Amino acid sequence: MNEFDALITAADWSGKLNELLADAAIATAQRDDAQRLAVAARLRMFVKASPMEVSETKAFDTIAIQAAMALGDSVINDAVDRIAQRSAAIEALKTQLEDITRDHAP
Amino acid sequence: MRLRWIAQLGTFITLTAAVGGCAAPPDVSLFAAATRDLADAVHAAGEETSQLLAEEHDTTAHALDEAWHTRDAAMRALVDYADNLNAIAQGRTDLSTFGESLKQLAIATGLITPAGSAAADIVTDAATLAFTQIDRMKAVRSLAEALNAAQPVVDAIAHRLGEHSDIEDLLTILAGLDSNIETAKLAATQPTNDYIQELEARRAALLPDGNAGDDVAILESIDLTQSIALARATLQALSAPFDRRAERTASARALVLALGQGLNAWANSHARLTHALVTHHPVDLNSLTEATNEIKSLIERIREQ
Repeated sequence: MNEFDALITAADWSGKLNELLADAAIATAQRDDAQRLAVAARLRMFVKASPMEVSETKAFDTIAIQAAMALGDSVINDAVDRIAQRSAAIEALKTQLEDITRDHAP
Repeated sequence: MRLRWIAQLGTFITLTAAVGGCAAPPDVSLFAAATRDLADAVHAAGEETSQLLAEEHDTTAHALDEAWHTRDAAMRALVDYADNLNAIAQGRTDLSTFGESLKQLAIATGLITPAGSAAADIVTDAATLAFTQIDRMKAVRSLAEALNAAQPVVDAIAHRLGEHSDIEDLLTILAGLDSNIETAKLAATQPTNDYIQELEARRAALLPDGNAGDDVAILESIDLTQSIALARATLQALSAPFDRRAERTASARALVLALGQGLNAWANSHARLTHALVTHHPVDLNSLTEATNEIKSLIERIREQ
């Protein structure tokens, strides 16, 4: 039994997609990498589970794919930003340490 | 193969001489070689992650490249430090150069973790640690004493390079890439998957409950089976590029994990080297050479992919 088994009508599927998008927004606001990737995995499950018989699901799937990709992108961008921020801090420290070293030179 | 045998023979002779009580100095060249391997690994881990990123996000890949230069510079200083150590141990360089190489290492790495601290505190902590230890270098009379004085600085550097957030963030980037690869694969393959499901449903409806059915149903079922086989081949072809990218991210992840362990092994080996020089015992660098051998084979695997 997974979270998609009980969904039947287009309204059911629409409601589930809204729930996933709300979870994605919370995880993004909290900048929680693990949660963002977990919601992306649930969105992919949504696409796999959504039935062809419900005509609206194709449009729902497109939204779910875009949201999953955006979550992955945000996780990547934040991690690269953190590395870049540390690099900038180290570069600043290097400059300051060089200045101090020069001041301490005999 | 022959070179490896000669290297093993050399290690055996060194160890035998030391165990035999000749008080031979520890072989620092192994430590210096392992340091170079680690520097290669740090470069390769950044480069591979950036190349994987470039297939999706050119700008982000460029930002990572730029930021990673600082890590490469730090590792170059680490190599210079280990090479200098080796030169001193072999009597090719004077002990007085040790303080300068430690200072350059301290400057290149920024010494401590900037995350979460005020910049002013960081400078004070880093400066205090660096200058206290580097000042002690002026008074040291042996390499063992110098290494003892250097150990706190080396521990701080290894912690910054190995245990802190760079490794975690590279792993996070790779996890994000994995997620995106899986999502893109799903988007590319889902229509074909749906089509296969539809064909299978039609075929099942033609021959319900394993009944043989009439000739028309059998012929149509054969047609559907052929269509399903073709669709499955298409699905495989569509999946292949994504599967290859997923394999590359898996290899990159293995390298980054091994790198974290390698940097920790490096700091531990530095401490063992210090102890060996103080006690005139042979040094055991097995954990470091094992770590760097694994790293080298992972880099080779990545370059073959």
